[in-house]
Amino acid sequence: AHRVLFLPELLLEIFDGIDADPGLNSKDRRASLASCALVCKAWEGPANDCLWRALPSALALLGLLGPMECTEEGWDYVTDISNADVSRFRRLSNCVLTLTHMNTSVWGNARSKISNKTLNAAISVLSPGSTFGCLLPRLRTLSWYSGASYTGPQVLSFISPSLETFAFNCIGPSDLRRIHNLESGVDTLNALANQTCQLRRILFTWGFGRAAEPLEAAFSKFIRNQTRLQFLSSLIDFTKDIVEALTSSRSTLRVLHCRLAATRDLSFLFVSEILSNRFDSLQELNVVQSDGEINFASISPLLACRSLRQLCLRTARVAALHPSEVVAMATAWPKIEELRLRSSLIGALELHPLPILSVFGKSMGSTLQTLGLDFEVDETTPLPEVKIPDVFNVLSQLRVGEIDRIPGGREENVARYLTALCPSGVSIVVGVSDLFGDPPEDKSLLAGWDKVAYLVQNPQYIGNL
Amino acid sequence: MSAAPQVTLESSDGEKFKVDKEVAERSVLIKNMIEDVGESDNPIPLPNVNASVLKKVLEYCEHHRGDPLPAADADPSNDDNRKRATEISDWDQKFIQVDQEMLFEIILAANYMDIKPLLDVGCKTVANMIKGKTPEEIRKLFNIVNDFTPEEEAQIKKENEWAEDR
Repeated sequence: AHRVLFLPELLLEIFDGIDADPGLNSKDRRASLASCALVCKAWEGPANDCLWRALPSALALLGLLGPMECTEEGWDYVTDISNADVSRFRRLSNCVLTLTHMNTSVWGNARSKISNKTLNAAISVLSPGSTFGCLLPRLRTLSWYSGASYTGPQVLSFISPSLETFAFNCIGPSDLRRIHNLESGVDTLNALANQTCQLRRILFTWGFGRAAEPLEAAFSKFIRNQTRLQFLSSLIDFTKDIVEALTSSRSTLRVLHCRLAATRDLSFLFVSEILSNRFDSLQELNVVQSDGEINFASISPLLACRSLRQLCLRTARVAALHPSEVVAMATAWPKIEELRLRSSLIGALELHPLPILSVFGKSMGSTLQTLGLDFEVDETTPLPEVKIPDVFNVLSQLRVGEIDRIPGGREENVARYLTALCPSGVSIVVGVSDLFGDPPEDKSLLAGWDKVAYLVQNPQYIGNL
Repeated sequence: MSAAPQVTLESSDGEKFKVDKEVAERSVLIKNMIEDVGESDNPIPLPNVNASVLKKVLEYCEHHRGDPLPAADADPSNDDNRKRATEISDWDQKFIQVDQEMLFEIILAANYMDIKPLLDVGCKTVANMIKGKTPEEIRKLFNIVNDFTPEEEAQIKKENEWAEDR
């Protein structure tokens, strides 16, 4: 065999090629790397380095200390592991940079839930005399799904000082389990606030709408202590405390996805003012507001954020933009790639007249890749003649309203207008089209935005469907 | 118009190759040598690369002479992105259709001469040969001897069992 096949650094490059192969799904990728680990002794180390870099379950790791079985409390060791050989565990746990673990019971069976006894046993074997130990010393990304049967802050055993990204998902099926989920969120955030790690990205998914006060307090405390946070995606309803904690931390936020509840006395205007004052290098802002109106006046403080690339706002009612406001946004955000302003209230009055699309095209067409607006097409207003075709140079998706309709017979005019403005291949996404499944076989049955979307994709049928 | 500056490279078996400096500098090793030593008429020795392999490597460098150079970056995640983002181009695929011995020699040369894009092409090609194969098929393909004991093999299989089911 050629000597390249015995040089660890080159083997690692080769196995990286398998690990990065976009043509393989994760199962095939892992199976190939597992095969490589069995080829010969020289291959085992580098292949395992790659294979163990991203773990889909903590059980794979814990299983290295002894055989496990599924019990009512979760996965447990079958035998005493106090004399387990920890060398393989240490070797392989050092490879793990990413862990995703569903610590949940599924349909009453403890499918991937770890028992407390298991974790305690593992920690006592690995760090004798200690009640706390970090099982993955080099972990950089952790995605943890906390289930209904919460028995303690197990996730903390996996948090390392080098952790950069933490995704915490807490979703339970019923209110009965809410208290457990609350405890898991509070414990996790309190403990994270006291950890030495400084996260760059946090995704906090909380499936219960308004959070209880202890959770909000823990969230504020955690956010306040961060110094390197760049990405925050939170499905806890924001409060003034949380916004204040965010702005008083030393972090330089670039991306914020958050939810505002109208009942919390926190307006979008307040948030946009405070964000633009503190984080003028913001690149992405995605806000879902449960009620109320968003208009240009409440958006305008964000014009100070010159690096903004994505702005997605959803509330009960978005006031239609005036052409001069569109131009002001385009001037303020020269790198804008995605803009979505959507109303969620059925019967929202102010829809955007379709001709405003020409203004978006002229002012943002060279950068805008996704545009989502609630459009209105009435029965009589003529659509403007498109003098400069394809003003949207890079637009790939136009998301249109889900609550408005196009008067019958105007679809072809609309499709003509859109194909003149947009590059070929642009996809028209209709808000509720998924509900109706595939378009009908008989294309003459198509109507409304579905018909427009079909005609834009197949412009040869315009006037000929 | 003045001619492009040239340098001479000398392979391990003594063959000399006169090439444009811009082409030779696709190799970070050579670029650094030129910067350290300054321009000179003396040939630059490459004691780890023989003439047939060097000729092939220079063919690659010539084709890619105008490409942007990969940034020297300390952040390993950028390196991961580079590997993920890069597909092997049609020209590179044809270029790397060589016998196994030459393929591995190109990888060694690219590693020694520090030509990252060529190293990627070589390693991805080997990765493509490996993927989806059983350990025995891989051993047969590359003539590798299995030096595990049955017990060692069983232990690794057990440790990596999770990789087969998820």
